[in-house]
Amino acid sequence: MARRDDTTSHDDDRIGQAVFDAEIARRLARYLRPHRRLVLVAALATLLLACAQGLSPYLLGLAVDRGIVGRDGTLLWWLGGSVLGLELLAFGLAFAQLWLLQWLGQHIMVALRAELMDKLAAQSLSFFQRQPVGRLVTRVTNDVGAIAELFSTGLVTVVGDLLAIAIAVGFLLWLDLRLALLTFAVLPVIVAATWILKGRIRTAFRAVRRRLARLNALLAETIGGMRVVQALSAELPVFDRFAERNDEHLHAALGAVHHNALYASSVTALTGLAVGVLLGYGGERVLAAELQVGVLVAVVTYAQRLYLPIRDIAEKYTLFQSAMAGAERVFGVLDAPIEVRDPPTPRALPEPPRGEIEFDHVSFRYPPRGRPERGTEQGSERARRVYAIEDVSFRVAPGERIGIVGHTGAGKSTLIHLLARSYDVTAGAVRVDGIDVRELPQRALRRRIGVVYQDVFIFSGTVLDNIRMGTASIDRAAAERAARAVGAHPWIEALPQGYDTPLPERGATLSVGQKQLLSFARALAHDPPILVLDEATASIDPETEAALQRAIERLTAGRSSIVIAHRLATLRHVDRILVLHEGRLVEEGGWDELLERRGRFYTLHRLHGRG
Amino acid sequence: MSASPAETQASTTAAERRVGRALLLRHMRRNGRAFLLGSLSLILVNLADVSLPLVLKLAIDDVVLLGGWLPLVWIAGAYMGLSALLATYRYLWRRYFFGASHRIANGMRAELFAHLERLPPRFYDHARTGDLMSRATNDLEAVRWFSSLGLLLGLDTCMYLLLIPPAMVSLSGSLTAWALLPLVPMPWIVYRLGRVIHARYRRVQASFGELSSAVEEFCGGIRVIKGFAQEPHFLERFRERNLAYRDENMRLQLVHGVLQPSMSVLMGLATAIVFVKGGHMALAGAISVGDFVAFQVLLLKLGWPMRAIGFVVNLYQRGTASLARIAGVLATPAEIADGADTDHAPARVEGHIEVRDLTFRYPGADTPALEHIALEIPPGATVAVVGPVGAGKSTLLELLVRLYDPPPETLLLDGRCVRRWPIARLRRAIGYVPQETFLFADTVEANVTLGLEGVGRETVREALARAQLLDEIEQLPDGLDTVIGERGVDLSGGQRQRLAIARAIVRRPAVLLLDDCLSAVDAETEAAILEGLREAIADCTAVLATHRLQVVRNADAIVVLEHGRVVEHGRHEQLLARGGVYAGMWRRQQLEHELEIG
Ligand SMILES: Nc1ncnc2c1ncn2[C@@H]1O[C@H](COP(=O)(O)OP(=O)(O)OP(=O)(O)O)[C@@H](O)[C@H]1O
Ligand SMILES: Nc1ncnc2c1ncn2[C@@H]1O[C@H](COP(=O)(O)OP(=O)(O)OP(=O)(O)O)[C@@H](O)[C@H]1O
Ligand SMILES: [Mg+2]
Ligand SMILES: [Mg+2]
Repeated sequence: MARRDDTTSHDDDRIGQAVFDAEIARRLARYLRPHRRLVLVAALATLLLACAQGLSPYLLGLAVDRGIVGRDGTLLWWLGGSVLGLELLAFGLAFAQLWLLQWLGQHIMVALRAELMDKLAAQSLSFFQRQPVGRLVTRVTNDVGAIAELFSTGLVTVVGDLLAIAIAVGFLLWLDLRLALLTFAVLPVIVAATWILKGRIRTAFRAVRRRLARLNALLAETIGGMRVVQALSAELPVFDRFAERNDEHLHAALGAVHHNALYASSVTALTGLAVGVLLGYGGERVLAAELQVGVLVAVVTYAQRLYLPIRDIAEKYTLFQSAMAGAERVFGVLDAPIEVRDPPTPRALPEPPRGEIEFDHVSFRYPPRGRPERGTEQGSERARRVYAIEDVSFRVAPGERIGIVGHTGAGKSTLIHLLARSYDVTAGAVRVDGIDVRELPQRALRRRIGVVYQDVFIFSGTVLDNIRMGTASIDRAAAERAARAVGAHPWIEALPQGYDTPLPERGATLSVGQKQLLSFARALAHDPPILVLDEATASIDPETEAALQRAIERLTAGRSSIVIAHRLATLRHVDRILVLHEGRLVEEGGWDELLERRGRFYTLHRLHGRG
Repeated sequence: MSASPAETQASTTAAERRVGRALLLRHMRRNGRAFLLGSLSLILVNLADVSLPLVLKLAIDDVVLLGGWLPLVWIAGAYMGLSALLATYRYLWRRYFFGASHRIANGMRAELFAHLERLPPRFYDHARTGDLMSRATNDLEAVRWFSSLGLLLGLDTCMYLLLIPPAMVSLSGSLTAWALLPLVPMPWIVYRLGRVIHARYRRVQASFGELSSAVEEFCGGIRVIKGFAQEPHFLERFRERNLAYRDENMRLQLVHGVLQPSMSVLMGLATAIVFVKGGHMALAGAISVGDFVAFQVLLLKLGWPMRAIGFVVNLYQRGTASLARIAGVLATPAEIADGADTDHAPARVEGHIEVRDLTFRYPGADTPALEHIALEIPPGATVAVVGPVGAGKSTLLELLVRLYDPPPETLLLDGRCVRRWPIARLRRAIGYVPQETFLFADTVEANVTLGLEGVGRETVREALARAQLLDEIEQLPDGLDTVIGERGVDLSGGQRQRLAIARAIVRRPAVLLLDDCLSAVDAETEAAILEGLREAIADCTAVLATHRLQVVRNADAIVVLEHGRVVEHGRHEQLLARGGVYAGMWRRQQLEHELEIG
């Protein structure tokens, strides 16, 4: 089954260059900067810890040479005491180190998540339309988690390992230059192996991340649509599709394990090679009396110490790659361009609001949809409607009530999106109170316009929360007034805890009409200068609607409003009706005027009366 | 429900523990071979690792004592060969162990998904997607780490703990007793701290679920949030959970930060004791200096497994806590499923529906959604259900497809209670168009067929044509292959509804349930769809819930629901003649209609 692929996957493949890693690392390092002191303290603790732990062998030597061989009983007590003291010190240091690093990781995580959410909040709707919710959730939760893990556990080990490597290199050079160089001779091979495998490992980890995100997106989506899956008895095919992705992810994960294991073992093998060569060559030199055997032992020991941390880093590579792959995707979201932005110097809307709306030769086409994976032959040569809105002009005077009718898919909802600036017009301009919406701060604009959207969305939280939507100025009484106006009060009162009844996600325990009424009450409670109703009464019975209509008329008197409806009766009382057809404004006028014209509206009207 | 994810449950129940254990064991057994081979490779790695220093010793002795009697090339070669072996087995154990852990995760994820598919809507009514998601991702990951690294380290630790003390005893029994004295409280510490870790980790995961839910809702409801310019409010909601998650994490790390180093302190105490006690024993000649040194070396070797214990406990407790969360979902019974009283006798569905004194109450609701409903719908009849918002129309249809279970023997299809029909057969026979359309982020075609087998393109086209959507779909760049956005965000409201109708038609059902599925469609299109439907479903039983009375006028019967009760029932003309609720509604519509005529 062809599915929408990760839209960013093409970019993923393109950015496979090495520079990219360095850049990600640099960007990640930026998050450390505010915590410089803490990092320093943690590093100090790590260092001291290493020293404290490194002192024990020395104390042991003292105990043997001076205590036992030198027959000094009290020294043994002293040494025993020091060992204990050192361990207690180490305990404090280790605790401090762990705590500090976790603190670091957790704070960076919180900061990154907040940054991501801020960015998402600033993103335009077109962005969300292309991204499955599940994938965005994975970005904010798991991908950021992988980065935090790097900071809290990976970083310090790597620093420690690098330190160990430096020390080993120093000692090797100091002990014997020739043997040291011989030891380093293997390094280029390791570097080469790293180079060769690195690309593959990264690709493998990217594949794991990407497929996991795809898997999760599908999972989230299916959970949301489980009722439909069950009602249509589609469990088996849906499971198969899930299993397919699950297995895809498994294969990617196994690939990553394979490459990682390959890398770790090749370092092991190369270390063996190096030490073997050292033994052979160094041994000959000892035999030739050019070298002391003690030095050879030391060199071999340090050579092993040199490669151990390298292997350790290789082991940590998993963590690293997960973090890198995560960071890449997180930064991908952070860097995604925002299509609809506030202007640099926004203009202010006039006070008090007038409620004037003007569409001035507006044309609009939606951004292209996602393409299926498999190529397609048909459909492309057919005539296509490119513009959702084409050259539409109209004006809503302050206080005027406008109705919009038209076939399904005519572009009615699109007009509303343009008014609320969910998208930017392709051509022309939309003005509110005489100002182009593109010159206004988006949030100020939207506060002026109360929209009851065609798709209702109820949040988890109480009924009251859902009406208030976090607006502090709406108190319980105001919310109740709005609910009464739409006729929702009786059944809200009948809920177990009335207005304080908690609703689950998406209001799953309400009937569809109840949800719509709630979302209606929400818009009314916000008392907007401009009220927009997009099929706001579609799921409401005529009886309730009639009552609702009277209430609205009272409430919206003197307020501009736009009402979109398929049921023409809903539009009986508007001042003017616009008829939209395939994105164009084809008729405009009062009810009777349009009927007399015997055009499209007349046809719609006649059909409506059939029965 | 035994484990509703809706509540933030922060402690593990015995049932979860049991189900979780069984789950893990089952999946581990399935990968038994890999674990066996992995363990074997691990042993070989350890052996090779131990023999490398011996080769080194051989080289030194050869040079110093034998003056190069053995060709150094051989020794060097032996070293390299052993290293190569080591490398090979190291590769193998990683592959086996980590590969197996991925397979386990894969298997568990599939099992979880399959179970989610069986859980009834009433579970989803209260479930939070973010929380379910975090169980399927984060918790699964914790289980995976436990089943690979945790197990590995656990085995390693056990091996060391079993081998080293006997070696110590062979040097000096009394000194061993002294040395191991500080380790006595270890099991207690591990147990106590382990329990704390378990509990705190559970809370961490629960709070992660909350965090995911917040993000999920934010992205899902973004249109409304932006519409009301309430981004700050919802960001604040998120921020609280973001910080709560961090704080829970830090609380967990506190324990972890104590556990690991405290093992080292115990070891330090043991070392100190050996310094003093062993030193004095050596002074007194009870043990040799060599014994003393060897003893210390052994203690040092014990250091690693002791430190690893902290690790293992951590991985173990996290793993079991997560396992319990996964088990919590798996232990939730799939209430709506075929059971012992399912009647598998083959039967062609005629479409005779009978409702006998049906009373239904949603869990947690004060009042029943349906009360004493009695109806009979003969095969092939068209029945309309009308009534005000929240009257129970959708509920009735949902009970018919058995999304919720009606009380036994109250709802019958072809004389057999819907609860006794094989669930898949029942639902296949019914074409249900829910009131709220749900579309998947998939191609148009896939959305219509939803995996239904044996449906050709032509059939899909025909269904779309009947739903009056074909023309619009063909105008899309990729036609039937156009991938639509999640929940159909890039289609108009009416287009989505029509897609859902096509989905039902393509199934050629014996019973068609249309739940207000033309609410977002204009009159012209509505008429055309009804026309198309009339042909397609000529002999099928149809139940339609709607708010548009014009549509129902020709129905064989009209049922008027109010507050879950049937207040009127009959044909259009009969009901009009009765002058009751329906007549009132109709008059209002007529009034409207006359208004429209102007
Ligand atoms: N996000 C989108 N991306 C691409 N095309 C879209 C998007 N949203 C809507 N469209 C298309 O634009 C056209 C107009 O859609 P719109 O939602 O404005 O219709 P409508 O008049 O509100 O219809 P309805 O009465 O069914 O709600 C439709 O053909 C639809 O498929
Ligand atoms: N899943 C649920 N859990 C609890 N109560 C529910 C659930 N679904 C619906 N209800 C309640 O049951 C009653 C009947 O709901 P139902 O959806 O059947 O109404 P309806 O007649 O279809 O209304 P509408 O015209 O709005 O679609 C309502 O009061 C509703 O709040
Ligand atoms: Mg619309
Ligand atoms: Mg309903």
